[in-house]
Amino acid sequence: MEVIPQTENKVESLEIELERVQKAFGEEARRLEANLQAMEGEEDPSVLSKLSDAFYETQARVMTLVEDWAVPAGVGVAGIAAAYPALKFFLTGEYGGDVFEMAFDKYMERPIGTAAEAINASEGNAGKGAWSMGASLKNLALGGPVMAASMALRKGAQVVQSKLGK
Amino acid sequence: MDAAQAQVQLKDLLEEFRAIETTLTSEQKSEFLKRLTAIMHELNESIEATLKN
Repeated sequence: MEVIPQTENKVESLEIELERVQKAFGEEARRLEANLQAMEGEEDPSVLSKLSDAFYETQARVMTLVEDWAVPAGVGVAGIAAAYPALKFFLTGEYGGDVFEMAFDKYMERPIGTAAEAINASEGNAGKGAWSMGASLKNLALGGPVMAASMALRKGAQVVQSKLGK
Repeated sequence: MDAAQAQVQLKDLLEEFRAIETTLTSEQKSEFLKRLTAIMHELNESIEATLKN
């Protein structure tokens, strides 16, 4: 019987765990997409106001998570400096236009675990220039989900704000 | 900002994420994703509860 070194076992189990967590994130992402669609039919201002609060509160939590995570992970100040503006950029909607919307749609239409496949497929569509950036997204375990979450949050906030006439 | 400029900017941002990720272990990535997933889960619960009421 082949003896697998313990360190190899540990690495393998960590990889399996990471895949499991990515799948769980994908499930929440799809659930959020369904909820965003359900929100489209909501007109009650008091309900929309509550939804607005939920989105902005979540945005703040995601930003705090990035800060909390970067330091213990040893990324340090330089890492935060790199990640924080990028996340803020997406959360605050400074990155506007159809490119953003296309990125959101592509992320949410498939499980996050197969995001690379979606990117590969869309790269074949010359009309969607946004996905020439696909090479940068491949193999991102964290950047992809963070961006997908950020995009979903921004989209949700936009839906609510437009209905509230803000 | 036009689409071409936005595309370049987004690519730069993704490169920054990639650089950060190379410094992390699978364990650290899992932990971060678990927390992010938990936040998204709570948001979904909140939206669904709000829409039901």
